[in-house]
Amino acid sequence: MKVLCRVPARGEVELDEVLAGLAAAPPGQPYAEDVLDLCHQFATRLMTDPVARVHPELMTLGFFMRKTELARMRRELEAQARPDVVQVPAGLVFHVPPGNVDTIFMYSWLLSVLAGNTNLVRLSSRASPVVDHLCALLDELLARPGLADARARVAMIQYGHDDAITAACSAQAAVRIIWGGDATVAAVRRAPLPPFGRDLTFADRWSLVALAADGVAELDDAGLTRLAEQLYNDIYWFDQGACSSPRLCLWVGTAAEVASVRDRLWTAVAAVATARGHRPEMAVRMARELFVHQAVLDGPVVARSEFGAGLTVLRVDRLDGLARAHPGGGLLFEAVAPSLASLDRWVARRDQTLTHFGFARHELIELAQRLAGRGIDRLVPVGQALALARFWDGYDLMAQLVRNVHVLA
Amino acid sequence: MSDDLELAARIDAVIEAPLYALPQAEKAARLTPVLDALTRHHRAACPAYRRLTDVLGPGARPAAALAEVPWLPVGLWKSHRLVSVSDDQITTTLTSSGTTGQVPSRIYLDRDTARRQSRGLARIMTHVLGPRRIPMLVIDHAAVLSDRRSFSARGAGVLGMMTFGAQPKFALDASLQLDRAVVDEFLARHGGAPFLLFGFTYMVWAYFYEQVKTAGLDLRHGTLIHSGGWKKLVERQVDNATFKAGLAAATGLHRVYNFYGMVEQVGSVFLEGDDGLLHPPAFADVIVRDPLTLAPVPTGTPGVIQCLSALPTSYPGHSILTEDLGVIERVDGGPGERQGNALRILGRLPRAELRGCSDTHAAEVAR
Repeated sequence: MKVLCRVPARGEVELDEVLAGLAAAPPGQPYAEDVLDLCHQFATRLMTDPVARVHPELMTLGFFMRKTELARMRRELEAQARPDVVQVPAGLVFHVPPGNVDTIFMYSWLLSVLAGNTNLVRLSSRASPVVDHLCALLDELLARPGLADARARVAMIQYGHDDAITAACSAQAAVRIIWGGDATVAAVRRAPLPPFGRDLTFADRWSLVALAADGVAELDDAGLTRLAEQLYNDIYWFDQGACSSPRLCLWVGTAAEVASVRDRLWTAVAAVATARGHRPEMAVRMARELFVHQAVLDGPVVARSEFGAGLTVLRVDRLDGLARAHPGGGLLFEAVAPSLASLDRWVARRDQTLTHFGFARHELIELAQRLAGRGIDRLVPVGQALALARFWDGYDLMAQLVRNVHVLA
Repeated sequence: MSDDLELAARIDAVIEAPLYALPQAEKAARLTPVLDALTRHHRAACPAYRRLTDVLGPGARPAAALAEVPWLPVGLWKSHRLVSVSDDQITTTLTSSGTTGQVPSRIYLDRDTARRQSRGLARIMTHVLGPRRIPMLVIDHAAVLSDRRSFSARGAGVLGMMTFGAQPKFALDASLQLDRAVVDEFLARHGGAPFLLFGFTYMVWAYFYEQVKTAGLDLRHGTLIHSGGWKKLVERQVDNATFKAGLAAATGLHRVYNFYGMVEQVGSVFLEGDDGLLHPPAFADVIVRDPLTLAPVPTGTPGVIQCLSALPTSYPGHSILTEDLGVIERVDGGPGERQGNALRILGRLPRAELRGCSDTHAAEVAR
């Protein structure tokens, strides 16, 4: 079975050779200096990269990989260290990232390489130019002196849908990370892991934003524009198709409070979209139009407002009966509630991220406690919906990617 | 009831109006109140339509112009049952063929709507075929008609057109090979006088033209009516001009008329004129909208096609936003030419790139 090995760039190679090479690679250590250095160089390159200028998600990735950021994560991990536990790499991690969010494979690899693991990353045969660019950059940096071991511990391979290749990779994996939603999880899970292997699965998720109406009302023009920019990033990156892209806006306040601010805010978001040159594809726009009609027939939609070609807001008069269908590409459901407690009954396992503006920390903590695991795994400020982090989908990814060796002397 | 009768009479009046002779302004003035009455009818008879027009507009506000008649996206017939009559009045359910794996549209007809569709189509076809039924050669195989209870779009199209031909014969056999014996016999008997050929555009090109182009058939007395979309032919770089030139050179066939129609609005097809453009009949019209703002665009500007038809009372399909792109090339021809909007179809909306966390692997599996 041949695969295209993109990192290290080796062209078409036998999968068996790739797997044998990874198995022979010397094990790493969590937060080893050579890896931190590699990440730092990668981040530095991205921050000044002309390609990253037109792909803001690459800037975010670079920010995430900065040395200060990684050192902070290492300090966190060290602070939790126990004298009787030695953290060691989990082993070979097989990553199945989604083919159409260009940067997730890098985050997935990054968190795992920081834990010292050996990494096998599956890239879609339809890799985008952004993926090509990231692969080339990583390959170039790995060729630098002192990184021979780190280079031996990674293989990013490109192949189309091929059960046999996925099975061969899975058979070696200590941890398999499956992104890409329910269907991908089901498809990849058909390939067995070794008895000691385990899956981290990222199913289809749904996300929302909560805005405190009084907080929005207090904003001056500059503050409102800043909020609109943050909402724009959350909604429009990846065409609102990421699991953490907000799809419902819950206004917390009275109907009168909301009425006085919502037009102002959505107009500002539409203005940001225009200023950033956002134009929906025709097919996306038309799919949204069809969805609007379906949503009216299927759910509690009571009104529709349009803010330019890029944003449709559908008001619902209750959350009950609001299905979690969504077309992506610039559509928000909008509801008004007296408090965050209105979410308690509606939230379900499918719900992942609540981005928020204008709430006190204790309100958010209390919401998480009341939900008690029924749903919502992240509550983060507006603007951070897509910022992949160590805590994701209810996992502590860093904890999932190491083994804890218990040593009692 | 009297409202329904009055509506039926007003629809019949536009069906019988001069097909292509009304200048656009006069045509719109006649058609607008009929379509507006249809909006009111469906609001009263179809709860789903009532809800859509209440929430998304215009509610009970009357349409003062064709562009104000609310439209439904064509895809809604794939996901929802939209019907304005009680179940016991439904006589026929039309389904779109669609590509494999796709959910088909389902269109519910009662006797009145089916009758109007037949009458509308007859008005259009007799315009080019004349009032007499002439011998007909169907460019398809006979099995396309097999299931009469729930027609495929192709079957319904063939059956609908068979009304206008006499003694129909099928030019293709079950394996879609040219049935030379049938064709030769047909031409021997009828080839010297006007006869009708009907088929789906792609079938005509891929299964008929490709097999007869060197066969020396004489089709010079024939009139070919064809429909069904250009997507597969555009992939082969065959446009309307190539299509016509190819058939004329190979068979002498020079009366070739394409029409644009859909299962969601059977009967009010837009038939090609001598100008090569498509013309809505008196009881139908077209609006081209900007694909992003959905506002009507000026003549000559491409956009998404909205089709208006006065025919359907059994389902709320009198105003449909399609997924096709087109351009109104001209409004009102010169003296003796067809009046009203003249449309060119530019093809389907391009598919969107999927983005997002999910789908990728599954989509590849599906492919």
